[in-house]
Amino acid sequence: MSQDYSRQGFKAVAWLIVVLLGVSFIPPQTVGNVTLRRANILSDIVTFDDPEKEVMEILDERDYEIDLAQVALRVAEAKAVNTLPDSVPTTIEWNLMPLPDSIPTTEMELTPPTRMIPIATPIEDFDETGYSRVEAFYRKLQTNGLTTRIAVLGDSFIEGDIMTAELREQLQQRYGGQGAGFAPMDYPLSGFRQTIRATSNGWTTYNILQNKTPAWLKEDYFISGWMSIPSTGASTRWEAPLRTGLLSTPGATGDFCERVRILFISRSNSRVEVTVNDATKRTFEIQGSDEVRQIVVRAPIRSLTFRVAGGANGFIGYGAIFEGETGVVVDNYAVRSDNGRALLRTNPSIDAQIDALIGGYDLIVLQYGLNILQADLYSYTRYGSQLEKMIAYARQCFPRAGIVVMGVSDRSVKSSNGQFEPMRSATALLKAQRGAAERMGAAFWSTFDAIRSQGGISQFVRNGWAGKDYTHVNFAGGRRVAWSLFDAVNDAAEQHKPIIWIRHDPVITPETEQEFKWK
Amino acid sequence: MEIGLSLENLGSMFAYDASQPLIFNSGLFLFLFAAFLFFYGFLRRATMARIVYVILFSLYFYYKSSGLYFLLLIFAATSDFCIARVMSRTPKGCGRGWLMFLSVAVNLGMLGYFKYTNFFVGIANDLVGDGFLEFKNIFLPVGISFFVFQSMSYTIDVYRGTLKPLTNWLDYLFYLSFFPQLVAGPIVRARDFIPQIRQNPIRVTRTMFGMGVFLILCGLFKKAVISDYISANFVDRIFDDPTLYSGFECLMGVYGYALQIYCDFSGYSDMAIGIALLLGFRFPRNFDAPYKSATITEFWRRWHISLSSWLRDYLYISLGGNRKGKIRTYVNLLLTMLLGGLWHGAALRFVLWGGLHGVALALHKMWMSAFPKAKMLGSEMKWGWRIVGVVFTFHVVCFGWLFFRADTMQKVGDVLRQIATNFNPQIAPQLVSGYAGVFLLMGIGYLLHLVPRRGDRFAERTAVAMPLAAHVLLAAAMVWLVMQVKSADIQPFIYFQF
Repeated sequence: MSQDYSRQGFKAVAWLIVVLLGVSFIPPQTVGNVTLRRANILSDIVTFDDPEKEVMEILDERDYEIDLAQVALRVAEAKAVNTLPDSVPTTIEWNLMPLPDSIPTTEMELTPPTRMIPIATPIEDFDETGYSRVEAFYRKLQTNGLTTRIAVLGDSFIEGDIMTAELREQLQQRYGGQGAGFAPMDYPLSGFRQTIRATSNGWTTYNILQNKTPAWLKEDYFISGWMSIPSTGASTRWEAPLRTGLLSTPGATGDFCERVRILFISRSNSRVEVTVNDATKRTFEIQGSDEVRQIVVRAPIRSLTFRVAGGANGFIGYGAIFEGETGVVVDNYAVRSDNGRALLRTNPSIDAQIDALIGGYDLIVLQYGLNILQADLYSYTRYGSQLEKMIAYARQCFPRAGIVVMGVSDRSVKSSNGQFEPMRSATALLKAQRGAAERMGAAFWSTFDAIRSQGGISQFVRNGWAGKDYTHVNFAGGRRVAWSLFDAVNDAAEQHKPIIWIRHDPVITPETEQEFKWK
Repeated sequence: MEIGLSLENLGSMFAYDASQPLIFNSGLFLFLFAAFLFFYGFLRRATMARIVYVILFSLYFYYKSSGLYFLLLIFAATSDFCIARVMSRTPKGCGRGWLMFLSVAVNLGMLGYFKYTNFFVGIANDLVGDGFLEFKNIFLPVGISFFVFQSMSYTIDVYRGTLKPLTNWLDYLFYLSFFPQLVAGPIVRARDFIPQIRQNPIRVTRTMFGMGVFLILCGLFKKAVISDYISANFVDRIFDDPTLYSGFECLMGVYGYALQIYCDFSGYSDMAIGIALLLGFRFPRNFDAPYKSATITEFWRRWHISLSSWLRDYLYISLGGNRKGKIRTYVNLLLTMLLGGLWHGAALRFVLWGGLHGVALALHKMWMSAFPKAKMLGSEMKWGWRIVGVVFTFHVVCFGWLFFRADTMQKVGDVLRQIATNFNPQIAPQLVSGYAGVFLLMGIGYLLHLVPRRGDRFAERTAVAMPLAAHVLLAAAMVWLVMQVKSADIQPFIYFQF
């Protein structure tokens, strides 16, 4: 009879434990690019205090090279565009509803804000000049009859209108406004975005961070980071989302906005068609020019189709901004894997032209950092300097806007025993971001604190509000971040009520003039 | 380097914690198993003591994952043991059928209550209107689907007269609670297992020991290295938001999921079979390289064999099998697979998945009757046809996995739409280099899967021939690898420009 091995199992497992206990004493190693952790079989009861590895900040500063004097010059040229005698009309209006009566600029009657997140994460404004553009934004926000524009520039953290959808929703409910803001002409992720439905065809679309943009187009990017080149007949149709709860309250007729601004460049003569609600169509003959143009459609809009019927050569489509007559407009400009370098690659002249065409942004939010953050990097001073450039650049292009730097979000990494723990280097990046905002007199808001005040990213993952990379929030998590930012805006707005200039009647009116004549 | 010792967690480690179930690839199991094996070795000739000892360990194993619900396991064992006893004393035609019905009702009642109550509440609310019934907060005892099916195989076999009922309740409790297969299968039939309970002395041959170690290590690699790594670092994120990714990424996500679910399921099965071998128990093979199947019928002979044969023997044949004409055969196939789908989870998508396989099996049966020369198995086909068959069958199965994995029908549509309209294959080089670890493991996983049977045999023979020291070192290397994967940083999502 062959040997029995029933006791061999114990021997094997016992020896295995002995070997593994020995392996526990092998300290962490780095082999090539791979980090090998300590394999501690008793990690629940025995801990090793391994020294933390620290790496130097490596940043290719060529990615952020920018001549700010040149930017200023180009912005100045852009401002002069409309004043030149031979300039083409840059705004083409199509009114399908009567112009509203002019609304007097009065202070809104607002109820005291109810905080949505119990622990406040305030916006820190470092502007000490007394002319803070961020404060001006708070005041404008609470003034009837005005349009307050916010642009949120960021990375995959806000891609597909994450966070901004809810911020827009809340701001529009409190301060008025309609529409889902900016939507690119053609966008590979339009299916992901829940606040606007878009179908497009016939466009070739480029992204600012891709290398495949043709050289002759590289200089034509706007802050959206996308541009679309049409073939003849290319078209895009935007319509209200299926889930209206995600967007500002639709109008009584089911319309989801009152005004659309379609933004494009037509370097040669072209013919475009705009169809509103699949019913009313108008063709526009566009005279060729280098300037950015906008077609402004005013109507109760449920859907809008834009088609390039002719003259596709030299045509660049950017997208459209969906908005109300007044109130808040929040535009989402997300470029995945960006860390701010995309902004510096845009054409400042185009940025400034569009800013002027739409009436100017009041607030620019810069949400970057996730693509810079590293677990073992505890100094981000070089990146902080680049962020200063971004703030300066945004100021040049959007001179009326206050700048808010949105600090990096909370993020977790695995510890040696496989459990998730907060990435401690995030506070170092936050420090660099806050420092850049402070040095530039901009404002700062800590996404990190906002998430931490609601339990941190690990709690977000447990609640299904964030992805399992413990980095990216999803729509549900974005809502929570937006609530915190909305609270911060409300709190600040309470402190900065609008200054309404009281219009006194003149001493002599036409009536009194008549009276005197009569006498 | 400082070493810290904290013993305050020690007590809570051994107590029930639903978030920390006792799984084979946990560190705690290794220590508990060592302690268990130490005493087990002394009991190889003490049959009764060994039975009680194994039962107690198994009940503790179950308690660690499901708390007091180990009582449910005892209840199930008691109920079916008693029913089978009474059944064996009841002559045919004198209520045996009713006893059988009682056993099925008790088993399916338990399964229905714990697993499907909220599913049916959801359906009722959809039909009548929201709020018609309230969703209940019901704990799902771990492995209930497995032990209920095992127990039913016992009473049905006793009813059919193919198995003599046990006379000792402890033997039956041993069968139902035996910890290797308790929480995730394989579904071991009573007639295969019961004869092994009272072996005296327990015998583990060299082949059993070597195969046991080999299967445990294979299982660890499949479950704790391949499956866990590719799911956390790639597959989950694709299925969380398919519209964020190109069609190519979505397709890779589906291929990744096909490998993940195979490695997860079969890896755990392998570990269970391996552990049972170390204890002197032989379980039947549960997976046999299913993605090598050249037809869907072959797939179901290679995939989760213990379940598919259970469904065939106890459901399909009970429904009439193929004895009642062609149409009934197709209907029976469809019904069997629909219910088989539902067994996997309480959601419509699992039913759809089952339905899809049912339709595919029925179509294949029709094909076979229309073309009698067509072959059922890949091994009977010519190479060219076999490759076409394997690729086609794999994609049909992947299409099914899409329903199995996507939590809403909208996501199924999203994945398919991305693949059809937004494929962007040009990102392939970026994707592979960005997710090098994931694609390396996927490559290894599929390559190992496609190794011919000879290769498997060679590896098994080598493992059996190895000395103990080699087994230990190999196991240590595998555990080290598992720990590296477990503690490796999650690869942050990479959003490629496309």
